[in-house]
Amino acid sequence: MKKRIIVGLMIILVAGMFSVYAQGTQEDDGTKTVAFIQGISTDEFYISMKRGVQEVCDKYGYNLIVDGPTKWDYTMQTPIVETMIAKRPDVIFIAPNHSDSMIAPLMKAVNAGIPVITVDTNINDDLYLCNITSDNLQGGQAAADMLAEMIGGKGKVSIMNTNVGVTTTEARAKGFKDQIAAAYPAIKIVSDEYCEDEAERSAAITESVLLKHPDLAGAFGVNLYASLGIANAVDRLGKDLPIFSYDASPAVIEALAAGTINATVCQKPMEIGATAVEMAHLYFTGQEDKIHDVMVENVIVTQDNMDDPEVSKWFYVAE
Amino acid sequence: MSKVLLKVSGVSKSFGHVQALKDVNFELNEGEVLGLVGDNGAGKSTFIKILSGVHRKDKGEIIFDGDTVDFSSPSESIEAGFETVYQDLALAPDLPIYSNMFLGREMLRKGILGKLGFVDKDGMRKSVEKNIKKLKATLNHVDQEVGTLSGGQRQSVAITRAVIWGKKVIIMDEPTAALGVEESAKVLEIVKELKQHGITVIFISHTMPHVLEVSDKICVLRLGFTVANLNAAETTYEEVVEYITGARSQIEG
Amino acid sequence: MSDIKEFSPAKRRMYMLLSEYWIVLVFLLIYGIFIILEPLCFSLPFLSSTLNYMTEILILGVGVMFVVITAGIDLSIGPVEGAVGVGAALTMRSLVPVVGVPLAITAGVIVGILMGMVIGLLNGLIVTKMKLAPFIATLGMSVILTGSGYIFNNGLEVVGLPKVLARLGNMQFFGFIGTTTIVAWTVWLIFGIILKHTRFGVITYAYGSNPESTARAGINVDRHLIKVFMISSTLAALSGVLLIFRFNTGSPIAGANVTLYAIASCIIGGTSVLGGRGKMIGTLIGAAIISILVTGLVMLGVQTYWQQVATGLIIIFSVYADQLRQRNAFM
Repeated sequence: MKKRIIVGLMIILVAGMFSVYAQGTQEDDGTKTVAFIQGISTDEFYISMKRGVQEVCDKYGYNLIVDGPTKWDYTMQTPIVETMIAKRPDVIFIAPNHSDSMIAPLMKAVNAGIPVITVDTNINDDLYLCNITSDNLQGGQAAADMLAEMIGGKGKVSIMNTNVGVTTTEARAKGFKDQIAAAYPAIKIVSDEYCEDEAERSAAITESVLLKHPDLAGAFGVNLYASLGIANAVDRLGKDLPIFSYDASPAVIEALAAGTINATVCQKPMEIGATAVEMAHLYFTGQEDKIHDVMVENVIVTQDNMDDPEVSKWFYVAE
Repeated sequence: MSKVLLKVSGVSKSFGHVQALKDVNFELNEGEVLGLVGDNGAGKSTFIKILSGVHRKDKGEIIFDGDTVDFSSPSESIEAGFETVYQDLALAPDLPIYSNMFLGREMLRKGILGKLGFVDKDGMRKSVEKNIKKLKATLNHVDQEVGTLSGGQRQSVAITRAVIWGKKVIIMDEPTAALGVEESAKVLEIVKELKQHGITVIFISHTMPHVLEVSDKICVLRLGFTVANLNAAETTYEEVVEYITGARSQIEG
Repeated sequence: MSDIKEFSPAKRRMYMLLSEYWIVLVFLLIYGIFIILEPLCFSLPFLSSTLNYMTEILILGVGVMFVVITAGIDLSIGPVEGAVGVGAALTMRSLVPVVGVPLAITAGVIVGILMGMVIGLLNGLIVTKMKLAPFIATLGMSVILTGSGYIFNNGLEVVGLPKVLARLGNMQFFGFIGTTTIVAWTVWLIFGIILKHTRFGVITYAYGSNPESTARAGINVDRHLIKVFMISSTLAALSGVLLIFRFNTGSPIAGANVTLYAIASCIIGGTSVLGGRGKMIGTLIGAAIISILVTGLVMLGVQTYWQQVATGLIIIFSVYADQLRQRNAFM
């Protein structure tokens, strides 16, 4: 008796699963579904990217499903990819949390016939359709160029990093350092420290740097807290030098408006998202020959241009 | 010294099926020392825990200072005037001697500081020094941490603490068990000193010579019964041991 | 008794001073080396920035020290800073249009401090009533608080706070002492007095030394322990509020790393993790050592993660030295 109930239940369960599967595939009534897997779901950068994706999806009448890990962690992102594959979308956009570890899960998507477009970050494999990015390395370079221009191409500068081994911030610092070394022989990086993502510690370190190098000409903080700390130290010691930050989240923009920091590297997550959908559209409409990688330009935002709608439209949004 | 301070009659206690105490009886006058002896499992600890409020008796009567008492908690026992000096001494080793003696009953400074909880360290030191002198205890600096004291000295601290708090009965559970000859002698001196100051003592020990040396009365427990109430001056080592081992009895088995 | 150690007062004093204050020598040694290698370290601005950086570790260290003396630990102090950073800042921001800037700031500070008290109360109740080890209770609490930072504001910084906050938070007195430094040292002094001179302090030490005997002395130890956890959390909340004042931002990730530095400051300063002992002056020196390692190493142009390595070594070294001292004392 008991056995029969169990067998019965299992039949219902399996049948149910098939019907869900069938529904998933049957949705091919022409409406395309875009799956977007963010790098970090709570990050303003990816929230903004989602907005860009959403806008163009609406334009073409595509369905959009979005998910992402709450931390930059490929072990959290992998099951999200698997869940997405099970939903059988027509394309997957992803900001891979790891360039190697995410290859295998994305290969599954490709094997299931779902093309993959990487956004922001990328993987060390050519299984993807195309890559749309304005990567951190390039952002760091842009910051170096702008800062060099502001200080007249010579002098001492400092970098405040967050934590050792965080790929995004390390890339920003690397881009900055490489560009200074390559293009500005008269600029010397006198300090390259980590503040553990705490403004308090960034401030203390910067005060020491300023004491040692009173003629510091400029400083680059790789994120909000690094630059807030630099600003606090500069202010406390009564100095005046350009402070660069990174990203254009509401907090950074506010610090910029208040004059706490002087410039920030603004990526264009919305454009990245929008471009990804345009590429998907080319794919859906059989224009595969037109698909290509896109490097989206960064914008340096300063007090001077921040009110320009052509600039402020790129500021990140919180929801 | 003729006033009866503590009268125990017919006290029994069982834990589930195990009857730890069956019939305990004795009478103790003010300022006397009672030696409570018996083999392991005779019921000494259980009885002490009843007096100190840890356990509650099932039957029998305890009359203390003219009143029938039945403590339901340690604080009731302490309130009534019992102080138990435990085998593990219950001292805080990192605290100085004087703090230990006043633990939980710290003297506070006068005036507003006292209201804010400021302690009167000098007042406590003086009081402790006075009482150490009174009991002729060998303790050097009242600021010395208890953890740095010898076993005998710790006993002295624990006993002096009981005296400072004006206790009527001090229960000492195996105070000499872990001590050397010289240290034991010192503790026995303090017990005699307590007697001089009119404090009643219940002295639990396995070491018969110590019991005979300090006690006025001896109560022998065996298998939960009081098998003998002896006058220490009139008994001998051999007699006590015979009662403990069951070779002799005052009651009908 | 013949076996009592008879110290001559002078010798006893020397012994006491050396064993209790050797960590001061360590500090002077480190500072001395920095000065030799970089004379700029011997300057008011250097001290000022070190003092400024010290404030957070010191305030947290003073609070958690009470818990460590009871042989417990409070891992939630850093996350309290983050939770309060968001809670107090959101209160301020939402009340400004309603009641004006001064009242909104006051309300934000009160809400922040109250949050600290409630978190401490919960920690204390979990430890005393649910009988969980402080390590587990506060570890759980710290994870909860980190998560709640996300729930309240999606893990985002709270911005748009009145500018006057930063002006108050970054004032300079005598040209080199910041607002937060004054608050931190006041906290240190007040709680130092509480620990050393009040009944509350005595009971804190007693509980850490022997909880059993403290309970037998008729003290409500559960209630005391709850108060101790409340001190720890409330000071962490104060520190979180100060961070809002300093950076004009409420950060959910504030304090993510400082918990261990704060605990390290009291351990380096001689507070025993086994409970029962520890001095406020030690915690001050411990915080000073941890801080000067950051500011000093930067002056020498050394990467600050060496500060973490050095701090770790000093923790191990100081606890070992304390063990040796204990062994000697009991011999």
